Amino acid sequence: MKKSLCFCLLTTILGVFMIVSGTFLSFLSSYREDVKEQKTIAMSIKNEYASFNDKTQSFRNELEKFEEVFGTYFEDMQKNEDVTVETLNKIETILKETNESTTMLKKACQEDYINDPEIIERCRIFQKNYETMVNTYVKMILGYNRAVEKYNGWNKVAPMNTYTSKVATSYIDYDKDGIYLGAN
Amino acid sequence: MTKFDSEIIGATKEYKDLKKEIKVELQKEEKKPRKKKSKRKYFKVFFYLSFLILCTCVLLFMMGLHKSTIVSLTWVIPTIILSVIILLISGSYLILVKPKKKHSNVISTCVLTSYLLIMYGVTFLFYGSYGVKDFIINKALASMNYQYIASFFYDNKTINQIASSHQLEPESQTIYEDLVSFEDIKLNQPEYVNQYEEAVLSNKENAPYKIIKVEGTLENTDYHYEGFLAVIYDPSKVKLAVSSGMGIDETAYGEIIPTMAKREKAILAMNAGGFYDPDWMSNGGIPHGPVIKDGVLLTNFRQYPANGGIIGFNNENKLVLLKVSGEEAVQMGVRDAVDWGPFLIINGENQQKNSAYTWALARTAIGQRKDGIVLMLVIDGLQEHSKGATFYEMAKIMERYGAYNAANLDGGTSASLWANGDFINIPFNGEQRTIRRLPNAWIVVE
Repeated sequence: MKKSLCFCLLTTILGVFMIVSGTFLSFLSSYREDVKEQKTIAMSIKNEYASFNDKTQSFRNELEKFEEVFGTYFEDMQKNEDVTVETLNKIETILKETNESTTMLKKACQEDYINDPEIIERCRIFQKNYETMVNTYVKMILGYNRAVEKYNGWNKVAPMNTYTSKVATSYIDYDKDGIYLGAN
Repeated sequence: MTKFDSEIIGATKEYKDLKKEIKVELQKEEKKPRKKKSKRKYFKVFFYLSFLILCTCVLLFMMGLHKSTIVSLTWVIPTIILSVIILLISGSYLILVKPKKKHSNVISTCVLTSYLLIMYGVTFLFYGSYGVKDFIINKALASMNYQYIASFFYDNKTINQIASSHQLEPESQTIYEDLVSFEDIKLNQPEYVNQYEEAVLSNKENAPYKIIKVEGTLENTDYHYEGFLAVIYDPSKVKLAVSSGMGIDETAYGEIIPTMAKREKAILAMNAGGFYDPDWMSNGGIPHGPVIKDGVLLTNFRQYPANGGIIGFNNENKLVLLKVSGEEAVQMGVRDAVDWGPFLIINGENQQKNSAYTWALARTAIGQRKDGIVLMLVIDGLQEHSKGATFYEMAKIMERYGAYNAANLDGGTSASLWANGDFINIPFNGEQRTIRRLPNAWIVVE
């Protein structure tokens, strides 16, 4: 009787010990995986951020070109129509590529689960810059189409076509701070 | 009967007696009231339970103090109080009522002590200043999906404090400079056809007229020309002023532009039609062709022959270029007109595109755009700063500024534009600055 009781007790203690240690080891393993995954995400965020910065520079270059070719008068618009439309297409392509190459940045920044201060700062800047880019693009397209309508009022014989954007058609408040950067 | 048989009978009798005794005993047992179970057991259970609860509550109390997400002090504190009361009561009873067996207390004492040590140990580790708090918070925050562990034990203020004290400054300061702005890039909104259109149409102060400086180089030459274009926004303000001595005989005399302008209270004036000037020294009293003012034909001395005709404004304030007689012009509703030429632009068609006349001189022209704006152009000539303009250049300039109809007026020494009390251009006779007497002038009244 005493032997079976001891045996039961030992078995129970051993069982409990194995369950507890197993749970702890499993927790530790998944925790390490989690930390590793976070580091991978942080690295890909840094890479995407660097690529995003390059895209903003390209965007700026094309905007400056657009300002140059679009001109100040209807005669310039008429003369440079092909180059202007080509520039608009390039700008749209840059924005489209930016959307495609920043998926991890967007996801991580919106879900806000990484506590690295550098990542947090990059997220903040990315959100503002992305909002500025999109809103500047939308403002540009709206302005261009308004100018084309005025031009067509002047030149009814050979009117120009307005530009239809496939990427963005309205202003966004990406960082949800109530301010539409780039829209003014 | 054998001995064996008598033993059997004796054993059987003994057995029967024994059975009877057992039966009686059993009956007695049934009738005996049962003993009550020991109260001590219950108090022992309460004691152990309240002890365990109290130890656990101490840890929970610390978690609650640190505003852990799962623990609320509203139920922890009453639980502690209750378990202390039960512990005291049951403990007192157990002390007063001595136990029969003592060895069972060793096991329970060991268990309870171990539990107490574990609970207090965990409490001190987690909520003391031994670095465990920092470790747990930092490790939890370093993960993506286990951050809840930190908020399970600690409040947000503590978590933020520890997280920020362990954060390093970002590697690169350039991150803060990455914010972009494209406000320096001005996306134009074209309003005008070209810069000439803009020069004519932009009139922010709503002034009655505007003076634009005009200059260029004569085509196929290096000769520079300069002049001024007056833009008059209300064509109804354009009238014809005539010299008080204008006539068709030798008694006629002309007047200088300032005199005519002053009399008519004009704010701007420009020479108009040509006049009889056989030696270029006449007094400017006899104008060529019909002169119409306020719908009345004033004079009609021989018309200018070269590609010109009536240049004037009708009652609808439209500039008309007509090859008709003075009487016919009056009948057609012309209110003010002179006679000169050539016509430069007729209904949008440039009449001087193929002009072979290349004599550059000081020239004057009048034109009107489709929107009614009147253009008065004067180009200086035979001077260092301005060689002069040909008819071709005059037409080109008028066309550039949107003239729909335009005609050349008298040039040479007569070419004068006056505004704000002085001449804007430099009337010149080939040798010096001079002001000619003229029979008439286009004026702008207020």
